[in-house]
Amino acid sequence: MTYRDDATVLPASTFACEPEPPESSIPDERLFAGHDPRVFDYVVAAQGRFESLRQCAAQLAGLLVLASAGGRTDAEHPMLELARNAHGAAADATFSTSAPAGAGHHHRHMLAAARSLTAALAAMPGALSKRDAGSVDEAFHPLNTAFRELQNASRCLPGFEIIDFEQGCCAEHAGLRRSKRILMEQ
Amino acid sequence: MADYSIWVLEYAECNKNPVAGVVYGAHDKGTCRLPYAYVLIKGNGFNAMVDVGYNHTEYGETIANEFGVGNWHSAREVLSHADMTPEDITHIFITHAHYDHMGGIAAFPNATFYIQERELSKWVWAMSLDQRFKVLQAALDPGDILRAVDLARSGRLVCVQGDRADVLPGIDLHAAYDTHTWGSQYVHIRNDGMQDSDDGWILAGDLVYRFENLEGWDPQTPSYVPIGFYVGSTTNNVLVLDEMSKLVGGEHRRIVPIHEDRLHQRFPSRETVDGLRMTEITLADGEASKVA
Repeated sequence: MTYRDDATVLPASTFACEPEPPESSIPDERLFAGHDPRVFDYVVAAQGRFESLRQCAAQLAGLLVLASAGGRTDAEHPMLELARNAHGAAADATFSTSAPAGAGHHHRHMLAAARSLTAALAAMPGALSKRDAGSVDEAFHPLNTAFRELQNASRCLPGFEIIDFEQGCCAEHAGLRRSKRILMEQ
Repeated sequence: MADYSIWVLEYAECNKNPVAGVVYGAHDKGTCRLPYAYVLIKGNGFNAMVDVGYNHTEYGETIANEFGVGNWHSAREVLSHADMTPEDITHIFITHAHYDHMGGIAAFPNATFYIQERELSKWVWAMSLDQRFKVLQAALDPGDILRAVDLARSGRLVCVQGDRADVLPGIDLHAAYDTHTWGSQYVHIRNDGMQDSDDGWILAGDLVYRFENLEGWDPQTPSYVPIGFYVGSTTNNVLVLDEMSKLVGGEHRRIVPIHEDRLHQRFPSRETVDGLRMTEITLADGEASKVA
């Protein structure tokens, strides 16, 4: 038996973190229209933290691909410091935040992502200076975990995107992105 | 004599894409169907592709629901119409790092991937910028870069610096820096194997979206019209159109835009599944048609 933050009993599969089959937009809309403004406040506050963690993960991935493909990298690469900065404040805020009912699942993925990024950051200097398979793997594995946690977080609540499709050329832009519409309607 | 067969394989589509998104300044032209496609090249004992499509598992639902991009079909299904499997593919040329060109790399376990190093290094730079610059991070998936790390760890990622001739016999990669993206590249197939080929084909990636980019809106006064979205300069986007045009002796039909819905009006084609098309650009000697 698994309980949601609001004590609703849910099947264990709810927390399997696999992509759910498309049903309808009702669950998301119901979440925000669900008479708990604290969830909305949480989303607004967490968006910046999510974006910083996503940016940190992307920066580390970029550094790792350059290192493993033979590009120019070293332990003092300026991007690493930027990644540390992006992670620092966002992780601190994530660790000190308590999530309201209905946002706990998202928050748990945020916590896990922040922790995994801490581990990845610690392994990065070795990966960038040694560039051997073992050193790269020490950073790659927690980074991969962090990215997966961010992906899972992005599926828990609307308003969190891994990729910015909105600016791209190949998409139907006539309809405003659903998650943003939900936020704007609050 | 032709060494390679070339097919454009649609794997998804957007039915209401703004024309202005793909042809510069076309704000009064409404919307168009925009196929998502990759290219299969077969010949000289190799099975190669240009780009690999997007990662439907990770964000297919998002772009279907919120951006009208759908009707996705797997590489296994799409390639089967050319009697090919993902495992058969040996070489893949990534024109640029956008999600719909690079997202499907995990589906090809035996291929070596070629991408411009500048595409990766400038991507890293873009990620160092704050959110005010998010337009420079558009359509980039950090997950694709992680998958590229995986490729590099297994020795299947080749970072190309500038042009590279004969990456396969008769196939050249041409860098197109600061155009659609910072490190775009296009593929030139010299199908007669000659240096100064009379049978050249260019697989343009997103350097050309539609015929209008190469030919303009008025057949009486043809002109280059830049693509509708880029991070480089307008000048570079026009100059690369001219560069490609010269490589094929001004025969614009030899420059293949994979997002062009009207490709089937110029080349033999057939429907494969759910309205998606397979278009046969050219056939190598002895190769049977897949669209007849």
